[in-house]
Amino acid sequence: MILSCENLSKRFGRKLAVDGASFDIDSGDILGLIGPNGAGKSTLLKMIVGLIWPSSGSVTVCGYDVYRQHRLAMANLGAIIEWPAFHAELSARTNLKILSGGQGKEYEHRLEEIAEFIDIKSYLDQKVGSFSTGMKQRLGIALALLPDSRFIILDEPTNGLDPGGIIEIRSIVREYNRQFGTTILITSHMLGEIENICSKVVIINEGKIIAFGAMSELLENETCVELVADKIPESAAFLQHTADEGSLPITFVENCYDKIRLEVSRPCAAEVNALLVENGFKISSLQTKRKDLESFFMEKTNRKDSL
Amino acid sequence: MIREIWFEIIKLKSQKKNYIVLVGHMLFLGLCYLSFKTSKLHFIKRNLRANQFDVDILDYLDGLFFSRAGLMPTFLVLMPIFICTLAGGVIAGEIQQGSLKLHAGRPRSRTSIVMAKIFAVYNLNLLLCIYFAVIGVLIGIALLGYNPTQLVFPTGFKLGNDITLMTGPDALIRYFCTAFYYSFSLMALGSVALFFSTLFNSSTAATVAALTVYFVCFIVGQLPFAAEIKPYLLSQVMNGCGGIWLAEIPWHRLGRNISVLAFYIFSFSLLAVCSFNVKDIK
Repeated sequence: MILSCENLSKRFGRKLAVDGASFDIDSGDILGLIGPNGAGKSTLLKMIVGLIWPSSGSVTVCGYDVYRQHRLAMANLGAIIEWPAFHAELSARTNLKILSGGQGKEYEHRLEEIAEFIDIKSYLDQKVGSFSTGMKQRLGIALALLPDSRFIILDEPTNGLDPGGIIEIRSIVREYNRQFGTTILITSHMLGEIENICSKVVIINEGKIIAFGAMSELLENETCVELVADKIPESAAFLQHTADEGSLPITFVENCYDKIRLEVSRPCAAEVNALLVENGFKISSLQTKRKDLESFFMEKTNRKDSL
Repeated sequence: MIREIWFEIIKLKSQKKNYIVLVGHMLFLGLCYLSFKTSKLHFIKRNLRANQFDVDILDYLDGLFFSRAGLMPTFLVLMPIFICTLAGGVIAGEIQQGSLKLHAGRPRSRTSIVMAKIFAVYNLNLLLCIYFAVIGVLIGIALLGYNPTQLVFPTGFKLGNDITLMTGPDALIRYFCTAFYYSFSLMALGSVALFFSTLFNSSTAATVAALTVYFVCFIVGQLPFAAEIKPYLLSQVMNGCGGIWLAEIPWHRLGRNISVLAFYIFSFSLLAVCSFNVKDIK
């Protein structure tokens, strides 16, 4: 077990920022931590890194208690929490040296290796103040990777990046995990990215963990049906009426104008097809799809109505 | 630990705001020189006449006299403001900037982080004190020359109405001893500022809090009913090195002041370490 959080809570005055969070990550996993703004993601990450003291519960990294054996735990962990803030007047090389605390030939060799991997080698001797947002994010990732950690935390690493930058960061994360088997915990508001990259996901809302598990298992249980019919508004209204009556296991009907999307509690594509045909609707396409992370997240955080 | 201190010094060196004090000092010396030239030290002449001393002050107006006159304002006004800004920003400033999260998230103890910052502030403070002392003498001698006989005017240090004549080297040694005393005393204020820096998440709040403590002590020290606590007030012990200029140096009083300063440094550094160890770095 690389990371284990047990009943982790943090209270700021009257506000319970994190409430009894328990989850763990195995070696080699890429775990996505998602949640709305103010859900407690950053507080949870800061407790894992030992920046914030938990009100109760415990965190271990590679078997070391983050609070009692901080140095040992942090020796196995590289983290970028929130925005990577560097010393603007110093060069990237000096920043990395100061912040990582690295030294010696082994460190220099590792730095060259990581700089090449992240593609920042030619910028190492430039002042960080002159860096673009994307370069600062890359430098942050380099800092997290530099100590040759077994476990890396990247908090919104694609924040402020253009589409090209997002794709590059995604490939860096994937490639690093594939090549070195490093365990990665990543947070992002871009749920498509999380779905693409991560093998496991944790959803946190109002300080509580509301879903945790392997991405494939969580989304496998959740299916949806997409269909194209001749009279979409009428078909959607009919299906909504059917759902309200409870005669079909439909939990949500969405009129997407060119198609209708149904969220269902059990597979029922054949029943939907039969019902629509019986009632005079012509169906040109009907398929069962696995629910995506975005829909799953919206449903779990009760945000469907706000869509 | 030495590497950590060195890293802290590199960080402090890279901050442009820390160079403002150098400009401030040059401006101060320039204005002092202008004042010397225009006033011709009438205020001291009046004081000497009132105390029935028959000395022509202009005979002794040289570079060392000038540097001595500039010593107290530099170390009791300019440097306290600087040291409060410097020490007040080392932790709170990094929290504000966000870099402390990167720093504290590495395998290093919080105690070592604070200790490295304390030593870095002390090193920079000592360097600046030596720089100000040396530059004061050099500029003074360059502009006003050097007289081998020095007139020391202890009333300037609020030490009665005595005047002393001493050799140039003797005055110079006492001048540098005074500068070292001030560097130590400034560290007491620096420790207070550093403690506030661990309490607040804003460097301005930490700086203002430390300056408030300093000036409140200074004001209380002027009150007639504060005679009993006056010898222990921060501002009072910080300025407690005037005895160095007396013919008979009061070692006992000097030793007591240094002990009180050491107590201030130790207690507030300890408080800073304890406070930072339980702090949530948000």
